Formats: sequence, C-alpha cells, structure tokens
Amino acid sequence: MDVVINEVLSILSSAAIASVIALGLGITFRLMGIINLAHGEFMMIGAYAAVYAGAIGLPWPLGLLAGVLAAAVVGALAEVLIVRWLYSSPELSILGTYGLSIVLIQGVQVTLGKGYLYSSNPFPGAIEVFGVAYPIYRLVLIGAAAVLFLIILLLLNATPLGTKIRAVAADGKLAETLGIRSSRLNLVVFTASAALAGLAGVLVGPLGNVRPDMGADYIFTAFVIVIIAGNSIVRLIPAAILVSTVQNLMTFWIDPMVAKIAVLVIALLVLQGLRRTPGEVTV
Amino acid sequence: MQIKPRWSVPLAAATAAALLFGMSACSQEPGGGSEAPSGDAGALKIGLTVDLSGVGSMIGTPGKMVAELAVEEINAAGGVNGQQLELVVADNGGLPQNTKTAATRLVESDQVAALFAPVDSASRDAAMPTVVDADIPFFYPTLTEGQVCAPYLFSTANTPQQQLQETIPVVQELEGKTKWFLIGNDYVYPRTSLEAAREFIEAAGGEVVGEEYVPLGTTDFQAVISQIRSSDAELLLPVVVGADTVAFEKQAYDAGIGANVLPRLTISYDDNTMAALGQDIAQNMYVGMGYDMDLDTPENRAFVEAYRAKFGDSAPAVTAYSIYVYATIKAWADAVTTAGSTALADVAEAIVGQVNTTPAGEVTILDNRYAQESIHLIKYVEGGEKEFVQTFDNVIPAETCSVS
Amino acid sequence: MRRLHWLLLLLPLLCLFVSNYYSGLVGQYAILGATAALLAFSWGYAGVLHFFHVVAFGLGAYSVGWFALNLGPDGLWLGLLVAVLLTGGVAVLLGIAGLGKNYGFMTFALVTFVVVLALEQIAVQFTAVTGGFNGLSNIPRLGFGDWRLSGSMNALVLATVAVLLVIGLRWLSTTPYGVALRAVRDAPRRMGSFGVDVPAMRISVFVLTSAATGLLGGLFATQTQFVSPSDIGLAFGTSILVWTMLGSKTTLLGPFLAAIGINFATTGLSESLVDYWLLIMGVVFVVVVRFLPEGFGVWLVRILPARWRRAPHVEVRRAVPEAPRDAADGGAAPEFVVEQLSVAYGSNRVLQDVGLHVSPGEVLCLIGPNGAGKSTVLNALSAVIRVESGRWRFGDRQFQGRSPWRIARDGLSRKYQHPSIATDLTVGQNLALAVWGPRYRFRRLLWQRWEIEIEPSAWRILEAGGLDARLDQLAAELSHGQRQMLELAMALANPCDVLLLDEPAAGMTKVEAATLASLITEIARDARPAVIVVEHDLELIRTVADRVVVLQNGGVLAEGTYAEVEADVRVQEAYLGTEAQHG
Repeated sequence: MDVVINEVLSILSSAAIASVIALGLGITFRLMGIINLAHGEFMMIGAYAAVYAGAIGLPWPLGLLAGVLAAAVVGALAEVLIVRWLYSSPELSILGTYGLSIVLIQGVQVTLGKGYLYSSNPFPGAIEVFGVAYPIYRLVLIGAAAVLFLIILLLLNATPLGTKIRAVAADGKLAETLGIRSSRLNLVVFTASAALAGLAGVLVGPLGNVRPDMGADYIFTAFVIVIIAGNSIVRLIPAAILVSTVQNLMTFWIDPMVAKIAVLVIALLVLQGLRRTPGEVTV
Repeated sequence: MQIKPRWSVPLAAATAAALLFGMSACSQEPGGGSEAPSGDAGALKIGLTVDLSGVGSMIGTPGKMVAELAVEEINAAGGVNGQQLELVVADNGGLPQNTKTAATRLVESDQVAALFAPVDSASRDAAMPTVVDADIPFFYPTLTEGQVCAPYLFSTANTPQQQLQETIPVVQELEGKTKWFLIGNDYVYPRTSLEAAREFIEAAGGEVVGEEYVPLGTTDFQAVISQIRSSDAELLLPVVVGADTVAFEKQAYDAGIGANVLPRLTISYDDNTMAALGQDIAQNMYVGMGYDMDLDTPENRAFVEAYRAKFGDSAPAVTAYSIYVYATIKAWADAVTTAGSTALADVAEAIVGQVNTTPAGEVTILDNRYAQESIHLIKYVEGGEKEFVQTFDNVIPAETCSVS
Repeated sequence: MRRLHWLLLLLPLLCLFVSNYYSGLVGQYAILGATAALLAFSWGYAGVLHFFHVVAFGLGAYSVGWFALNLGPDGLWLGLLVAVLLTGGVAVLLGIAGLGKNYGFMTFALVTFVVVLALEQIAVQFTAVTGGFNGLSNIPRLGFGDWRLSGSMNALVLATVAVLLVIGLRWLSTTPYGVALRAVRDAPRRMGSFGVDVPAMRISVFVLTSAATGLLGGLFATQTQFVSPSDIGLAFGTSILVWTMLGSKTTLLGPFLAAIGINFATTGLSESLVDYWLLIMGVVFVVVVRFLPEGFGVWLVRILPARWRRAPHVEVRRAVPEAPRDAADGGAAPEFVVEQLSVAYGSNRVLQDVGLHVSPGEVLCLIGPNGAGKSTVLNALSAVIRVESGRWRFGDRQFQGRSPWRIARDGLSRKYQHPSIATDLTVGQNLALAVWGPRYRFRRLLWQRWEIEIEPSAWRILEAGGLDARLDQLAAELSHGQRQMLELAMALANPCDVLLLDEPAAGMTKVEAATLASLITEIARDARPAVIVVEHDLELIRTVADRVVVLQNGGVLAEGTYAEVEADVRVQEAYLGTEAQHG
C-alpha cells in the first residue's frame, strides 16, 4: 500500500512539473502557432532571477515573483523585437526562437558565468501522507500546478480576455475585423507564456541545478506532452499524467530507457491516430 | 517565389575563388608549412584539445589553465632538450566531430609533437584516427573507464577500478554496512564503473541489492528514488555525472535518502559538484579520487600556490578531471628529455615505467599505457569540511586490455 | 551562362592545393552543404518539412561504420549501399504512413521530430551495434583492400559527390517534375484535381532526398572516420535546418553555401571568440529572421539581373480535333449520373439524397440560395470532401470512393471558384502541369520535354483571354479575369467527359462573363463533356443552361429549363429575400 501511495504521489508531482512547463509551451504553440525553442531559456531566466533574489535575502515568495517577472519582461521584449514577426510561419519561429535561445544562453554565460547556481529548497523535509513520508516541496508542486491550471482555464473560458484570445487563435484576421487588437493580445499571451516558463524555472530550481543551458533537459518531455495533448489546453493535464505514469512505472518496473522510448511511441501513435484540423482550438 | 538557379553561376565562382584564396592564405600560417619542428629557432609545439565553450568547459577551462602552467614551468626550467615548449589549444565545443577537426588541425597545421585531450571518451575515439595517422603520442589525462588500449594512447588519470578497489572495503568497514545500490547514467563510463564495483563489493563480502541506469539529461529521479527506497540498500554508489548529479542528489535528499541516511561512495563527484550540492547534501559522502586541491603534500602545496599566483583566487578548482593534464605534460617533457626525441616509439619507451612525482602523488605509466597512482578516500563532513580518510599509494589500474 | 554552374566543381579541386586539414574540412562541409540542399529540396521546393534528414544522415554514417568495422574495410561499400537502401526504405514506410491522404504539414514535422528523439536514444542504448555513447571509431577511408585514399583525396571525392548532387538537384528542380513539386507545395488540392498523384509526389521527393542524405552520411563517416550519437541527434538536425533557412530553403545553392560558410566560420572563429561566437551566431539568426526571413539566397536572387532567372519556354500546340465522340454510337449514350448523394459535416447534414444526370454536351446549372449545398455537390463529386453515401458514374465508370487524382484521371475535370493556379509558374508551365497531371506518373515527368498539346477548346479559351501571347508570362502577373480563363483552360487542357465549373464568372467584368458564356456553350457543343455549372450570375445561366436544378437545404427543389424553373412558385419562395442580392 505504501508503495502505491508513494508511486501515485511521485507520478502526480512529476506530472505537476511537466504540465506547468508544457502549459506555457502549449499556449504559444496551440494558440499562436509558435514553436518556441526558447521556452527552456525563459525557465532558466526565471530560475536565475529567483536564485539572485534569494542571494540578496528576499524570501522565497518574492523570489518566485522575481522569477516570473524577469521571464515575463524578457518574454515581452522578445515578442516585440522578434516573435511578432514569426506568427505567419511556424517554420520561421523555429529559426527565430532557436537564435533567441542561443542569445539567452550565451548572454547569461558571458555575464553570469557557466557554473551551477544553488537553488535551495524553500520547504525542506517531509510530512506524512496516508502513512507515507513525502517531501513537502513535491506536495507544494502538485498544489501549485493544480491552482495554476485552474486559473488559466478560468481565464481562458470565463473571462472576456479569454474569449478574445480564443478568437484570435481561431482566426486573427477575423478577430481584427471584430475590433480585437490581435497584436496586443499576442503580446499578452506570449508574455504570459514566458511568465509561466519563469514560474516553472523557479519551481524546478530546487529539484535540480540552475545553469545557463538547463532548459534543454526539460523542454523535450514538455514538447512530447504538448504533442500528446493535441489542440487542447485541458488535455495537457491527462497527457502529463499519462507521460509521468508511463515514465515512472516503466522506470520502476523495467528500465528508464525503455520508459523514454515508450513515451515517444505513445506520441507517435497519438500523432498518427488523431488527425486534427489546424487552427481549431478547444479549451 | 522564384527559383531560377542560374544565379548560382557567378556566386559559385566567387565562392570558390574566395575559398581558394582564403585557404591558401591559411595554409601559409606560421608553423603550418614548416617541416619537422626541430632546430633551435622553432619552439616545440604540443597540442591540447579541450571543451572551452560547451558543457564540458567546467573541466576544460581548468584543464587549459594547468596546461599553461605546466608549459610555463617547463620553459622556466630550460625547456625540453634546449627547446622552448609552445602550447597550442583547440576548443572542441564538446562535440566529437569538432574534436576530430581540432585534433586534425593541431596535428597537421601545427605539427604538434604530442596531443593532450582531457575530453569525453566519444571525443577521444573521434580523435584517434587522426593521431594514428600522425604517429604521435596521444595523452588522455582525464577520468576514464579504461578498456581501450593502443600503443599510442596513454590514459593517465584514474580508472573506476582504481578508485573502487581499495575504497569499497574501507567504506563498508567504516560504516559497518554491506548492502549496496548502484546507480549510474546510461552510457559506457557508469556501466563499466558499476560492473567493476559489483566485483569489488562481492569480493569484499558485500552485496548488491539493486542496480539502475538513467538516461543522460534526466531531470526527474522519482522512480529511481522509489526503487532505492523499496530496496533494503544501506550504501549507495552513484556514478551520475554532470548536471544530473545535482538533480539526483537534491531529490534523493528531499525524499529522505540523502547521504545522511544512505552513505555514498562516489568516484565522479568532484569539488565543483560538491559545491553545487551544498554542504548539507554533501555531508557523509565518501569520494575515491586521485586528487583534491586540499591534499596536504609538498608537491601539491607548491602546485596550488603557483596556480593561484598565476590565475588568481577565483580561478576554477582543479580536480581529478584536470590535474593529470598538468602531471602528464610534465611526465611527457621528462620522457622526451630522457629519450632525446619526440618520436612516438622513443617517448613510449622512456615514459613507461618512469616514476613521476606530481601534485596527485606518484604516477607511473605501465605497459598497457594506464597509470599506477594514488587514490585518496575523502569524506565530506559537517560544515562542508573534508576529512582525508586514507590514501592508497601505487594503486594498479585493472588490466582490462593490453598493448600487443 | 547556362553551363557555368559546373564551376562549382572548382570547390573539390581545392583539395589538391590546400593542406590536408583544410581539404578535409572542404570535404566534410561540402557534404553538410549538400545535406542542407537536399533538405531545401524537400522542404522549400516540395513543401515537406521534416527532421528525418538527420536520421538518414546518421543511419548512413552508422551503416558504413558498422559494415566497415565488422566486415573488413571493404565492407564500407556494402555499407554505402545499405545506407541508401536502409534510409530509402525507412523513408518509404514513413512516407506512406505520414505523407498520404492525411498529410498535415506540422503533423509530419512532429512525427519525424519524435522519430529523431527516439533514434538518438536507441543509438546510445544499442551499444552492440552503435558502439553506444562512444560511437564507432577508426572507420576506413574510401578504397579497396590495403589501398586507401589519403585524407585530401577522400575529401576530394566527397566534395565532388556533394557538388554533383547539388548540380543534379538543380537540374531536377527545372524538370517538369521539379516544377510540379512546387505546384503541389502551393496548391496540393488543385494539383490533385488535375490528376496529379499528390501523395506519390511527396513520398517520391521524401524518399529520394532521404536516400541521398543517407549516402552523404555514409560518405561523411569515411572522412571523419568516426560516428557517434551526436551525428543522429536533434541538435545536429536543428543545425542543418538552420543552415537551410539561412541560405533560403527555396534555393539549392543558398543552403549549400550557407552550411559551408557557417561551418568554416565556426571552425575559424570559435576558438578566438569562444562563447562570444555562439552569441554572435544567435544574434545573426535573430536578425535574419527579422529582416531577411526568406534567407540570403532569395535576397541574392533578387538583386541579380532578372534575365538570369527566366523560366523555360513551354511549347504549346493545339491538338487536332477528334471526331465528336459518341455522336454516332449505336448503343445507349453514356450519361453522367449522380445518385443519392449525401454529405454531413458532423451532425449538420448538408446534402440529402441528391440525384442528378447530365448527358454529354449538356450544360446543367445548379442554383439555389446561399447554403443550399451547391459547392458541396462539386466538392463531393471531385472527392475533395468525404461523402456519407452516394454513387456517381459516367457510363459504367464509377467515381465514388476514389481519390481526387484518380477521378481526374478518369475524365472528371474541375475548375475551382477561386483561381488557384501556381503563381510562380508561367502560363505555359501551368498548362503543362494540367496536361501531364492525369497522364504521367512522376518518373515520366523527369524526362518530359517542355512541350504540350492542348485540346482545341482549351486553346480557344486562351485566345479569348488573350493568353496565347502570354505563355511565358508568370501567372502572378495576370489579371483576375485572365486567371479565371487560365484556370478554365487548364481544366479543359485534356479531353474530359465531365466538367464541373464552380462560379466560373466570379470576379469577371460583364464583358468577360459574356465571352465566357458563349465559350461554355461552344465547348459543350464541340467537345461534348457533361457540364455542371454552379453560378450566381443569372444572365450567364440563362445563356448557357440546357437545364437548371434548384437546390434548397441540401435537396433538389425543382428541375427544368430556365423558363420552367423561373416560373416555379416554390423556387420563387425559396429565393425571396435572397434573390435581391443577385438581381
């Protein structure tokens, strides 16, 4: 029984991290048609900001805020300078955001150095959950991811802003004729996506290390989740849970490499099985 | 859009002309055209290929620094056979293909007399054909799984067998525990290391209760941590490398199986790793390695002093991954002096069996081109302090292969 | 000027004059350049973006490595063969799975992206074959037995192969095959309706470029003498993609030179600049995306004199008119018959049991209020949308359940409402593709000369639109009315039994529409296809219609001559309110 509870919690917390990263990525990909190869670097910016905030003595919540803000600012700048020229072409977004990611990584390396930064755990220790001692921080992650998804889904589905965003996603030109300024909405959405990345960066910091090229390790799993989720933001949650379940259980019972390949096979099956109409977004 | 490729013509001609001009200019660089680098006028060149820009730059940068220091010291002492040494450095950017390119440039354009490459094993293998063609000694002065032997390949740093053979029984005895869990990244170095570990553990009366390999670049170690927890392991032997180390150790610590609960013996965590982990997580870890900057020997004190004098206090820590670059360049210089020649056969004959006193202790290169050297068992204790538990001198590298 | 691209062969000759080191680089980078050019051909010319190029490259390198190390040095030749067959074979499978009817641009890119991720893992894991993390080393150079090429000579061979490949691709791009690929890229649905087997075109180019990339990968391994998982990985794949974009994916030399240039610059500058070099590269990418999104190649093409990029002239002849078909046929004259055609979009039923019949030479006009399902009928009949049920045939030739291009080949021709001709091709090239589409498979297109024979009716349309004098002009330069005429001429370029016209007069002036009306009548009389016209212009309908069918809410409301239908009370009711717009 303990093993089961432990596994369930592990899967949920893995899914929590993965889904938060995938959320930002999925928003730009599905709502704006941007393949953002710099998403991992926005995470990195967030993580750095949080570490530096911690270093000058700010408490963790402020560090979290600093990470989100830093990534949002960089994201907004990137949108204004580059990304808004890429909406017409998902292919071009590959080159543009690839260049952006190199600029961010190398920029940080040159100015702040290559070494690992230490991001300390704001909630050390473990508490008992159904008789199993489980790290508090992991539980915080699960809660944070749940709240975050709730907020985003409410924003998209129950506010005028969300309606506008979905309208622009479905047909930017048409939305413009209805009086929606799609360029400003795109800025908002991209900045929000970068802020989410920053948040994810702050959250994963204490689980690993903070370094200029940290983003790459996270981004591919997130991409696979976005692929499996298809056109839906809500489906990111089951997709993340599916991936985490397969990865955790197969790692536990068989082998991590088999687990990784199994996840990729699922992604392939989904791509082959579910044909979707481009531009159609269900939330 | 319009694709009428006839514009290709003048462009192609221009490019070809530019390339032709550029390359003929390049090939006339000093040194590029000169024949055998002998005589009093020309300096004797040695090549170093390291990773200065990629992920391996944490090893590459101090590697380059200690190489510069070694060359400076050799030249200050009169050079090699009356000739001054010149170090030519090529960045490999962390990629095997680039290492091949870098090695080719060093060998062909710079005509280096020996090549030193503290790089990963894939990059070493990539450079090998070039070195064979050039018929020069190839020094591989960083931690290696061994298993590759060639007359021209000198692997002078520790092998996992050396690091584990003596340290496993001592750790078992000190901790009074015998049940091990082995975990590593999924590639040749950890696999070879843990294979050797299993042998030594069983020889020392211990038991392996679990073994797991995770892909490089893993960020989430929960499943593996669950596995470790559900085994009845008392000791952990992690050969997790690079950034994965920090992720694994932090997550394990949070999950209640940090080194305070489950003591570690590691062969890959150097000073930089420990700094990245922080003192709480590092506490109670045993490290079996050939070098540490805090070693209290006269040779090491002199080395550290010179290193700090040249590069300052903020220079990166020198570890077992990079110290053998320094030691090996010096050993090579001594061998060339003894042999009076830089030819591979002469250098090989002189350097095998030559006893080198280095900051890492005595290093002797054996017949199979691996080195017999000292291994230090270090324990990280409270407050980030290090305790030098024991030093094993003249540890013989396992005969995993031989030079025929 | 035409033959001067052979000057590219000077590049391999460099290997004779420069040091071993530089010639090695020339060989390697020429191979990478050709790899980028191959990707450009698949992506920029044929519109198939994928990440498989790096898998093909890696598979090629690994197979040469494995065979050479396991079967002795001469095994590398077998390895090269396997490289081509293996990558080609895998590409066939992937192509059939992903480039067929359900092809989605992004989906296929993502599928191949995932394949790269998986193969990178497998290359690390499958140590017994791939050498795992360390890869395979000491791969021999090209040669036989103990005789092996020197590094420089090996590089010379490689660079020669690479350059010849690029020249070959360039030739390919100017053949009807290459031109058809571009048309497929821009208007796949249209080309399908012209009888072009669109999936086969895509699969052929994917397989062709993949197999060639496999060969290049194998050759690359003989130069570096080494292969590791990084040669099959995503990072390398992305680099190739980036070179291709920088050099312009719609050119071949652009990517070739971009790859060579960037690699030489990296090798030369990365050591002096170390981290700053990558930073500079990143900034360059960003600046290019912002200010030169199509890449350097296109920019260069633009500043070069226009006469250097003139398209080939197409010789267009008028076919000798055949005797009117079926005129004196004793048996029952074949008819175009549609039975019980039903179409639904989700739960929304658009057509319900529609039945139609049209005789050869007869013009049937479909009218009805907006949303009655008129265009849906044409879309269903030409199979660009899926039908729920229904049968349609000409004589005993059944059409239902077949793909658009097969229907087109069986004599059902269609003109879309909006002209979707390939605007970067000339009038003549557009006509040629329309003629060849139903007749030739892609292999034939490779050798086809730019000469066509079109039906007299198509020729008459060209004359009427003044297009017969503009055969070498780009379609982009035509007026809207002229494009409509060209589109119609393309639909009629081959003999057809059934002609579907979707609002042929849309956007035309009164005069043009009147000309068109008399042309339709003439064509029906002379070439005798069964014609179905969907049109709003009542004047045109009155002129051309032999019979009118009125659709309402997805069903047939009324049928008869124009006068009969006009007098029908139900029709008047249906049109109340909507009629006003069409006056």
